[in-house]
Amino acid sequence: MTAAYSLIIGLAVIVAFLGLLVVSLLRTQAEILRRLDGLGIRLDEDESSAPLTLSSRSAARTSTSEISGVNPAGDPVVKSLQIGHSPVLVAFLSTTCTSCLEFWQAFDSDSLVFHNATYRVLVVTLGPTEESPTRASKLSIGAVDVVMSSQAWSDFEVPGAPYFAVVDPSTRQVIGEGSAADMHALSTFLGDAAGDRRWDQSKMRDRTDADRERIVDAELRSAGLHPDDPRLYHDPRDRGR
Amino acid sequence: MDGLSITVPPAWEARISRTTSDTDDGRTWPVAHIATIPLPSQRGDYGSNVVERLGSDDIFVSLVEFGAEAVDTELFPRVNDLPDTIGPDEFHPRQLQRVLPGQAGKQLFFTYQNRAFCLYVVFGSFARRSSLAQSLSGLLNRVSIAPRELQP
Repeated sequence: MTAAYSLIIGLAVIVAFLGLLVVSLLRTQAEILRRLDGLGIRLDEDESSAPLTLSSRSAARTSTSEISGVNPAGDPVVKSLQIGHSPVLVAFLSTTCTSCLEFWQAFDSDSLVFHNATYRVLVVTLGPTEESPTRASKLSIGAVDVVMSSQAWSDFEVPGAPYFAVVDPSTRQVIGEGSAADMHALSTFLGDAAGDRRWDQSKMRDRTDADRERIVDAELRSAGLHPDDPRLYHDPRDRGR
Repeated sequence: MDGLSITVPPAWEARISRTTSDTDDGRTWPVAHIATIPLPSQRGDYGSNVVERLGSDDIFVSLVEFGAEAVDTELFPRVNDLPDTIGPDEFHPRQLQRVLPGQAGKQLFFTYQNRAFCLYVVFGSFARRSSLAQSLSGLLNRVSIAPRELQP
């Protein structure tokens, strides 16, 4: 009997130990998921949110003036980022990434409307030496504009596809950029970017003359122009003389 | 492409593709499009789907090559240089392939470098043809056409 009790007690201890081990592993996994989530990385397939950030508007960078490359048929293309009235949604897509497929299917025109604002859509893949023109041709539908340009990926410092940048053609400023897992996340991002743009514009209107003077003075100082600088008083007609 | 290249000025867009074939042998020829508005991916050789979008300050240019049978014909006289300017008074609504209210156009046919071309320019506004002709000035100097060997 004593041996039997010892065996039962031994088994109970082992079961309790294994139970603690399982609980500990589950807690570790939950902690890992929580930390990944904090970094914006979601492992569940159905999750639509993704790390997509608006540019810091005070430090928004200026984009290149154009994107040049070839289209999937191999024809030379130069697309300007400083013409037109609509913001340009530059979509950096790959023909092999699974999360890009939804965007290839959604972008069927050279312009799309998000939150009552029209965006000119430009899909940019890597150049034809790094990306398949045949696959790009098969994936591009409707009248979507596709340019194959590795240089554009380098200029925009694209970390990987899918990646998006919104360029204001009047200033060439990149008013928002980041990645999105799906159209819902992209739409939310564009809505935020448009809202921030309106907010900036309204704040600019609200500025007083003194505010504007301070801003202009700061910009002139940063350009090396100080009070009484003779360049401030030159006659434009003297240019070239 | 096919000896045709363009140094695109700032705030212009350009594409070089091939003409839509309407011949029995299926041969196509280079066609260059340059515009001050975003060029849609689907366009006619003479700017259908583009000219409808021109604003009053916009310009569309199409340079369409024709086959060897057109070289040095009466319609395509030989020139030594591409025209660097086209005077504003040469633009007229009657020169448009497709007449749209307010617009004006100009067509030039010529043989250059043993190749026959039609240069077709559309101004978004006939009334603003003087300032638009100034914007157009020098653009054609940015077009480079390599010579084609004459067939024996």
